[in-house]
Amino acid sequence: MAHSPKRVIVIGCGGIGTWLSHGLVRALQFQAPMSALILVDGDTFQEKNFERQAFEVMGLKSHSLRASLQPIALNTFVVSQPAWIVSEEFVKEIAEDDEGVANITAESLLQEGDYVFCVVDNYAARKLVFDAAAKLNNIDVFTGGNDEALYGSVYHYHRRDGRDITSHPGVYHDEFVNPDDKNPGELSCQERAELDGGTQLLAVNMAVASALLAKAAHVIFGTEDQKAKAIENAEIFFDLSMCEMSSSDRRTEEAILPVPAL
Amino acid sequence: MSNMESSSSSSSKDSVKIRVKYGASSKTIDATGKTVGQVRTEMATLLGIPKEAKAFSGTREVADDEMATDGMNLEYVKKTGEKG
Repeated sequence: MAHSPKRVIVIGCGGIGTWLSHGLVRALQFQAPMSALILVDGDTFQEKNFERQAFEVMGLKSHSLRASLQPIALNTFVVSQPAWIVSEEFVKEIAEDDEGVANITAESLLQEGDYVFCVVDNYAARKLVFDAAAKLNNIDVFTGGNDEALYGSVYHYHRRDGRDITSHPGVYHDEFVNPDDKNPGELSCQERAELDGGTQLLAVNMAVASALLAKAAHVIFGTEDQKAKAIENAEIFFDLSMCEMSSSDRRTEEAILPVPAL
Repeated sequence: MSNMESSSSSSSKDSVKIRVKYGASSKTIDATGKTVGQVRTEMATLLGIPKEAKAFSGTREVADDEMATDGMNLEYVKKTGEKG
C-alpha cells in the first residue's frame, strides 16, 4: 500500500547526499508517489568530485543532482534549491554570496512534518538545522557523516507534539552546541575555495548514505514496530575497517518512561 | 544487553561487571571498585577514548568520580562524523 506524499529535504548534495538522493527518489517514487524531494546546496560540482559523488554534469550541485534524478522521478517532484544554510544574523547582513547563491535560514526552509536529511560537511550548518527543528512540533531530522578513514555515524532527531522523543544531538555531542568548524555558507567564495575537503573515501560516504536509507525505510515507510525500533536505536556508529557497527538509544527520559495510569 | 545480563548473573557477589562502549566498539569488563574516570583511563588505549568524551549511563550523564555499578552500560560518546 502506498504511503501519503511526503516532503523530504536533503541538505548537502555531496559525497553522501548524492548517493542518498538516488536512493530516496526511488523509495519515494514507489512507496509515496507525488512526494517532493527538495535538494539544497549552494556549492558547485568540480571535476575532482567525480571520484566519490554521483552526478553527471558540472554546475550548481542542487541543479545538477536534480538533472540526474529527473529521469527516475516520474511521479516525484524533485526541487532544486541552490542555497546556503546560514544564521539569521548572517542572512540579515548578506542575502546572497558573491556568486548570487541565496543565503537562507533553516527556519525558512523547514516545515511541520518534514523529513530532513542534513548531510553537509560541517557541524556549524548542522547545528543551525537541528536548532531550527527544535522549534517545530513534528519533524524528523537525520544527519550522517564520516571521517577521512572508514568511521561513520548517523543520528536521528525525532520530535512529536512539541516534545523531543529522541534528544537534540547537542545533549550528547558538544560539536552540535559549540561547533569547532566553519559554515561554508558564511565564508566568501575565496575562503570556501581554500577549505580543505580532505581525502574521504567513496566506501564510507556510501555506507553513511546506506545507513540513512535504512533509517528512511523504517521511519518513513516502515511498520509501527520498525519505526519504534529505529527510534530506539537513534544513533548508529560504524567502522568499516573493523567490521564493527553499533547503535545507541538516544530517547529522552520522558519518552522512555511509561505513561502513568490515570 | 543479553550478554551483559548473563555476565552479571554469573559474576561473584561483589564483582562489578559493566559494558563499556565507545563508537562502534564495546567491551564487557570487570570494573570492581573503579570510578567512571578510572575506567576511561584503563580503556583509553584499547577503545581510543579521548579525555573530553562525555560519559553516559542510559540518559544520564555520569561524572568521572562516580563509581561503576554492576550491570552498568557505560558509553563514552564518540564525536560524530563531520565530513559528507
